[in-house]
Amino acid sequence: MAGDALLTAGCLAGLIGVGVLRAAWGQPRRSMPLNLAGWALMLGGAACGWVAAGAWGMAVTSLAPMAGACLLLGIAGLRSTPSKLKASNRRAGLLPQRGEPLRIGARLLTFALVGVLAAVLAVGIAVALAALLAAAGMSEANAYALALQLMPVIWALIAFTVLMQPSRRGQVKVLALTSVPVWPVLAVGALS
Amino acid sequence: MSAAPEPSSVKRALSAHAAIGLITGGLLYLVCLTGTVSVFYPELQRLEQAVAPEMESIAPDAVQRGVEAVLASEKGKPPTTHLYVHMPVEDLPRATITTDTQAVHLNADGSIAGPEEIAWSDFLVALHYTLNLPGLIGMTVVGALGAMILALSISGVVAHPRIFRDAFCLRARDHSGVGLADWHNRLSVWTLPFSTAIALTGAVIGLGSLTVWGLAELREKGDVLRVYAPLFGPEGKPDGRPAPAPDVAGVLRDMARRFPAVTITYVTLHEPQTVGQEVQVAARHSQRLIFGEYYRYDAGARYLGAAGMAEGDLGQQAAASTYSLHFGDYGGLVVKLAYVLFGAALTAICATGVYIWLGKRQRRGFAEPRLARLWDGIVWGGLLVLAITLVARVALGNAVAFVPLFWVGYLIVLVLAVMVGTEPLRFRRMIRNLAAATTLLSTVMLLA
Repeated sequence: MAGDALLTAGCLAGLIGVGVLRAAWGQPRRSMPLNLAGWALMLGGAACGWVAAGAWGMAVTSLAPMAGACLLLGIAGLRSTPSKLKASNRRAGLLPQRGEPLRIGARLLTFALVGVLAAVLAVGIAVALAALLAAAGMSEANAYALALQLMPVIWALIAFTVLMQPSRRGQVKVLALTSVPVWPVLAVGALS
Repeated sequence: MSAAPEPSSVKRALSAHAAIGLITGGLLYLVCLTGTVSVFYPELQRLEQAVAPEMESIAPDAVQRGVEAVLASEKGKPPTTHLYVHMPVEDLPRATITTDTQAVHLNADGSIAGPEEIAWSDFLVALHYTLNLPGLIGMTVVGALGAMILALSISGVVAHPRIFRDAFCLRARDHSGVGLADWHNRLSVWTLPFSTAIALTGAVIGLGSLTVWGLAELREKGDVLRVYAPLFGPEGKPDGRPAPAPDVAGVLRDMARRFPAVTITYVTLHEPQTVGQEVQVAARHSQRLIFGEYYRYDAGARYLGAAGMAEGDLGQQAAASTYSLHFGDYGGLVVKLAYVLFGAALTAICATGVYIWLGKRQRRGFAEPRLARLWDGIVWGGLLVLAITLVARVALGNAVAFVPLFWVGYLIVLVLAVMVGTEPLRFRRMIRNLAAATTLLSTVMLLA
């Protein structure tokens, strides 16, 4: 019973938090207290969910502010009026402008670095971390689960970091640095 | 001091965001679309085969009779390696037995009611899980798409410094490109926790085999089962000598006595009718994110222990929570509706991303009607062909070859989109209306 009340309170806190942020971000000048109150209410809502029913409660209460925000967005969309604002034309720089070379080889290489090599490195880092933690006394279940959860995150971070580099040399440096934890793993694998 | 990133970083992040989005966009859209519909997988099964017997619960002796009847029906065929009994639960109140070669529904008394006919629902889920590619390859590709959603989330936030400040600003009626960008950015921000959770759990499920392979090679002499054992519990030692069917009724009675608060979802027989056979019961725990706990029994209904997903190591609980968090089946209809809403938002984010990029190029003077029609073909054509497969299921039955129907149909739509000379906006209106009409038709046919 107390758990249900906490869950309801968590959902309400999340919803109110979204409303407070809506008010804060609708003001002409940034309002730190309102901003903090909005975020605190949303975090508090999730915390209520955790206290009420652990990860399940947190997952349930986290849905409320997202649903509330979608509702507010729907209202904003319905109320919006046409304006003469010009859309952003920021160039993503993916396709060449007229007269520029296609650079297909370079693009394929970038794809291979981000889509293949970064994935291999992510597996290597996740496995190396699991091996290290297991050697330090962590249970196999915890070490293996951590590796499974971390691998995609590591891949996404490496992919993002590689693509943020302004030059090929920078990309190679990032990949070389991130490969460092993998070398001991490969050495152990080669020796076993 | 400002926390905003440097303009050059913002520009590079936008390039990274666009590069990942454009390369993965089409497949991401398809995976998100099918994932959103798959939230209602149990309900779709009930609609697809409306005549199957339903029950609130089934007696242990009836399950025993059903198991023995199914095993007897397979005499003379290669023995099944596993036999799964789906127990009646709230969103799918049916008792169904699946072996390596068949799936049948049971009546409440345990007699076989007839074959399970949910080929369309299974096709939909397979399309989402693997894009209909062979097993591990498909799962890895879809898992990679999950990882790329994570990369898109990171690069999207960095590429838009005002993304939180403008989080409620939706100029939906601006057709110059502002409205589209607003929809894309606002939905992205407010569904960010959902998108991150879905992407991460999807990537963990899809890419798990890669990581498990790495762990097995390094630590378990290449034996992947030894990596899974600490997470989901061990399996018994195989012994192929013949034996009678296990005492499933005894197992269910013992479960009711030992664990009255749990809801049994599946009973799995490993290597049935062999000396090495074991009975594994999967059961849901109320108000838990884990898909369930595994309880092991021997063939004589002697309790061997639980795997530990409910009360064991944190890693076990986290691994077991991955699935429900991804499928949205942990909180009844309200949570499922929320997942459909946010899933639809994620699908729209995938679609609008490429539309934004095409719009920018058009405003800079690059008119690319073929590319514009192609993307319309991917977005609206995907929905159209998916709806056509459902119409075919209702009109023609369970035996339709859904995989070729979908992919050949999709290919035809895409080829037509590139080849026809129709003006892009007119083409979009046509294919959008066609997709909407076919989706409506398929829904009405399914519900009728």
